[in-house]
Amino acid sequence: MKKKDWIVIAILVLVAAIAFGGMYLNNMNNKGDKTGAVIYGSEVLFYFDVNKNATYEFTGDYGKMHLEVKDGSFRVYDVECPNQICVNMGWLDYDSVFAQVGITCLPNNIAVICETGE
Amino acid sequence: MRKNQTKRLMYITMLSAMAIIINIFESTYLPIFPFGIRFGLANIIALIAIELLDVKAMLSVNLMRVVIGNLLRGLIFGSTFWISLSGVVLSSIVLILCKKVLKMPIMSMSMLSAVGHSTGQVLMVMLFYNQESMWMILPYLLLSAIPTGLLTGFTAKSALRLLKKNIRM
Repeated sequence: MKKKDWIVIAILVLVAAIAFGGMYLNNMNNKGDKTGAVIYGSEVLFYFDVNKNATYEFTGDYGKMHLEVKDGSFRVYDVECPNQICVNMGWLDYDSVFAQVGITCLPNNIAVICETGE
Repeated sequence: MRKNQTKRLMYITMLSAMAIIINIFESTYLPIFPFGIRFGLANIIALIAIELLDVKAMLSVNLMRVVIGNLLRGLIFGSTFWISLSGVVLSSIVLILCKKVLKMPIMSMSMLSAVGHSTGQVLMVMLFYNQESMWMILPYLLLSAIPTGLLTGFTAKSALRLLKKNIRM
């Protein structure tokens, strides 16, 4: 480990910290009623109510996907896709920072997101 | 001169083969952490190529890894192919800058190229899938680039120490 290595580590941590700060500030302004949406490409497949426990089924480019909404959180499960990245994301709380990023399945070209307002 | 050219070609080929094997092994057998965090073990080979040979060799090893690796897995010209291609292009540019302009030690090169890789992938997702909020996973990827970059950097450093002792180019 040389001096330059430590400088690089410090810069990375600093940039990440600034970005985290920005994210949480952004999220604080974003509290309120939220709507979930399932997006295919750039069009919305359907909206869902984040406060209602339910499961949904829909089809993307690769195959079927399932969405489960429960107690203010949502997750996808039983996805026909080799990577299973979206399943490994687990449960997302709709108030958290990550609800805006949502769960994305690239092979299916589907994103499940949650945003304030309509 | 001619002999050296052949030797160089042989090294590039062997490094590419290793990179492809590592790439396939990693994407098949190693778990993927949340947010798509991965070890990026194939980066070891890119680092070895740039240190042992030169920039051109690193570029061809990286491109061969993505193109042939995706061809072998049957994913070529699919969405994952373009995403990994953009990641590799950006990380190669970062590696060249680190090597030629900034003259950084290998650990920093490793970490920064990991950053370049994830940034390129996220940019591609943002552009092609219209998901502007994807940048939010970048800070997590930046933080994870530190341990994974140190791991690959350390491995490449140890390998290079042995290689430079035993191989004369």
